[in-house]
Amino acid sequence: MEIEERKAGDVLVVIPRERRIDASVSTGFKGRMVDWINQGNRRIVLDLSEVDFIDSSGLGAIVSSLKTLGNDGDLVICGIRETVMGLFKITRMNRVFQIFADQPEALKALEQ
Amino acid sequence: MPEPLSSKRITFLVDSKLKNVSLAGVAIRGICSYLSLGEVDAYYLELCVVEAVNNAIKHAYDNEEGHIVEVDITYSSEEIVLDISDRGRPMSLYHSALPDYDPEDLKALPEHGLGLYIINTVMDNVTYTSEGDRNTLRMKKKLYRS
Repeated sequence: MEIEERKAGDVLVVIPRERRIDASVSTGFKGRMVDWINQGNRRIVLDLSEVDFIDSSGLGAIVSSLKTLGNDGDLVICGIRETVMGLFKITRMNRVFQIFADQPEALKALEQ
Repeated sequence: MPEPLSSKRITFLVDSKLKNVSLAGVAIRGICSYLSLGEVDAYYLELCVVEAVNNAIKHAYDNEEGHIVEVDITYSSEEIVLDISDRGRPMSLYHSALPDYDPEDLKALPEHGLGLYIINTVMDNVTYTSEGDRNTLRMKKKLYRS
């Protein structure tokens, strides 16, 4: 799975360059996220603007990343499409994650 | 049971590898486009097919390759029926409830087992049958076109 990562100050911006985060790639995606967290990244923006499909395995990988981060970090989401947002609403994960329109808005929120 | 005269039907087979499941997703998305369904409705139907095929591969076949998952789609102007069949181990228990978790309690957040909950939430009617060595998850949804 192709994932772009870049630093914006002390915030790690993670941009999956794939259209799908599903059961075939969720384990690898989760592994990469856990590696970045274990390297000391405590504030992460996950930009889902290129992702048009996530299944429950992909969602589970994102939730698992948040749990790995624990209470002393932030994992926020931006760029989520209306379709994928439907999955977050069905599973009530829209109450768990802070969700922003785009990267600048997410980064601004993390600076505060 | 005879199908309504206006209904159409397509069946395709998916080899039991998780990386093949996206093909089933793309196929159902194409049918949804043909039916002029809205983007969100199409996503939900694709999601349900993907979850059902994933479950068959993971649980019925224990992620073992070389087995077949059959996807049978019947639709009319009013309804779409999605049958996902396998010849593996039947599901022993039909979990479908979303845990009533506290969004503030990280440890309690569910990471697994959301597939059947999603299917039951999205679809109007869901049944699971095992006859002989064939297990079928049948999902029905009324169609409201955009």
